[in-house]
Amino acid sequence: MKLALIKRVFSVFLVSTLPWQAFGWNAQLETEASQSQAAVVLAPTQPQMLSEYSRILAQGIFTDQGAPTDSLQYSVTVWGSWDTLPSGNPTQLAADKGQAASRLLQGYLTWSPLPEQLFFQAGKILLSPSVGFFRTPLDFFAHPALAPILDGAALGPWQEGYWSENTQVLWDGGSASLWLSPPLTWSDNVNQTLQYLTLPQNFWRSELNLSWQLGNAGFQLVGEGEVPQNTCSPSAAVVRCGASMDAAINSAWTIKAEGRLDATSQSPPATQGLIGLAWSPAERLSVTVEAASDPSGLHGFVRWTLPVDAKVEAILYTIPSLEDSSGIAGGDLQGRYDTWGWDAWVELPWGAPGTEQANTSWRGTWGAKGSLYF
Amino acid sequence: MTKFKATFTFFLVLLAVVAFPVAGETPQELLLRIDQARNVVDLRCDVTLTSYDGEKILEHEKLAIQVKTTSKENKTLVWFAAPASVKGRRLLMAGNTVYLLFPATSNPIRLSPLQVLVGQASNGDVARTGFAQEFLPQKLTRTSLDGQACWLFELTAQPDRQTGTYAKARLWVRSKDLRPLKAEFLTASDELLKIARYSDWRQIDGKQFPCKLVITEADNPKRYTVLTYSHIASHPVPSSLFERSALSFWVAGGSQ
Repeated sequence: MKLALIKRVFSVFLVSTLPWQAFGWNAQLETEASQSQAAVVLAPTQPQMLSEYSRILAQGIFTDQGAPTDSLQYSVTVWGSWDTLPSGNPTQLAADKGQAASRLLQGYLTWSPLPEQLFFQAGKILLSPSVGFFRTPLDFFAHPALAPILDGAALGPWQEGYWSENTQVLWDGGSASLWLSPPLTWSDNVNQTLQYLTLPQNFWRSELNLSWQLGNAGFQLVGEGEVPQNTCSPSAAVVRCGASMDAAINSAWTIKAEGRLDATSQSPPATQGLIGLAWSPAERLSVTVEAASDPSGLHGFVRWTLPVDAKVEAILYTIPSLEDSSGIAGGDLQGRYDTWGWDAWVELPWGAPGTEQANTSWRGTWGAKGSLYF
Repeated sequence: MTKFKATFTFFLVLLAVVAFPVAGETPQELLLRIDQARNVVDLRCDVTLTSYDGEKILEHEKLAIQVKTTSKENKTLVWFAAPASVKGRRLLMAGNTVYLLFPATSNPIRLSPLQVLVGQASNGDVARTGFAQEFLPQKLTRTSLDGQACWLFELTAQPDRQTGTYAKARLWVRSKDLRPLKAEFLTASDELLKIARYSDWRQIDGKQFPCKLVITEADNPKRYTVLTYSHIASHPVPSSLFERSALSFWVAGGSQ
């Protein structure tokens, strides 16, 4: 039954790529089936209960970019999905009753009056200055992930941008950019249609970014300010600033660090930070270690990537809490070929007294995914 | 005593000829001159990589490359044009600084130079436009290869690249026109890793450029990668393009 459903969904998506391909767009289709199980003990005297749900998720992404003239570029990324569990919460939608969604993830024009030095961009633009992998403190705001992320990363492979304008100046050794984003909200009636174009934007936002390179090290200073759409009071404003650095120590070792400060008039300043290093002792073999402090606590991250053969890679990761004995461990075995790929993955959270996992004696999610590239 | 003097003088002259091919020229300077003879300034080209295991094709990739020539170390931008699974990726390489930008994302990821991204060849194999920026000559001798008189350089990685993909190299350069014919790349413990052969020499922008490079794995000669360069031209671009934050603005030219 489920296999037939997966085949049907995949066929529909496959056919849907044809018109996009006719215009020369690149496309990627993914179909993923996953299963989650948890053994829950509601009270010490009660027997253990088994909770399980399955999910089928099909996604397609279509991209096109080019440069019609020397000074003009465009980039468009469109995403669509069909998901039996779009909320990620099994109590909100029964399995096998899929829900479709689609959105313009990015779509902007870039005009460069001084080629390769000065750029003006307008449209739906993605902004992500962080150098972190499992946490991204310098990404001051971001839309929710479009789908489950399989390798412990903070950001999925596809992200949704904001309607905005960006001015960027590049020079030998650095760059500066000023990004401005207006609020965009609408009534619930209109929302049904506009949800295919964008998620609402409830804030005025601006971000200033200064980055420079010193030898093998890169540095960034980022400042951001935001004000809710319907409030002009300075007391409602939020100001954030941060800095990052990443550097290559030699051909095998890289390091990174970033920190952030949030300031509002209504609460004391809050900080977040991340440090990390990566070691690549041999070709296609790497170990990444990061530690981050954020409002949810102090967390560690270890990710090990190793080649199985020329086309297959294994990724093992763990995200332990550094404050108690809870965390997540996962693995993703992935094959990538010229026009297709596959993933088989498992993720196992573990709990500790006093955490949300405390009553769960066992829990796990596993699944498989097939991808096609055009 | 006269015989001793004559012998001593002969060996001095021989040493001078071997170590200093042109009057006053050191092996490092000669290596630099060899690089300059084929170094197309601000090179832009397309590269096709085909990896074989015997007759079987393992991988086939197409890249577009833009190089920024500098006196210290060249900087390279790579656009992945094929296959479809990697199409649209952009890579920036400048010495040990390596950033990769995936399509539909905006945050370039820092990688170490050892993380191979282009099939069976290393990043350095694809982007190498010269030897002098990567290696220091330790020894220079005269030899012959395939019946052609050659200089044989024994090279070690520059101090800041000791932990790189290749710690040592041997380079055969044809004496008469300073064309590199063959290179062997080794580990620090002298284990032979790869053998590269340069061919299909063409005149590009006043320089002799090898349009074909065959890299064979030393431990399995059946496995080899052929790099074919096309649409080669000198295409000056500002240095500002070779920065992390500029990756998302670069659109490859050439045949892409």
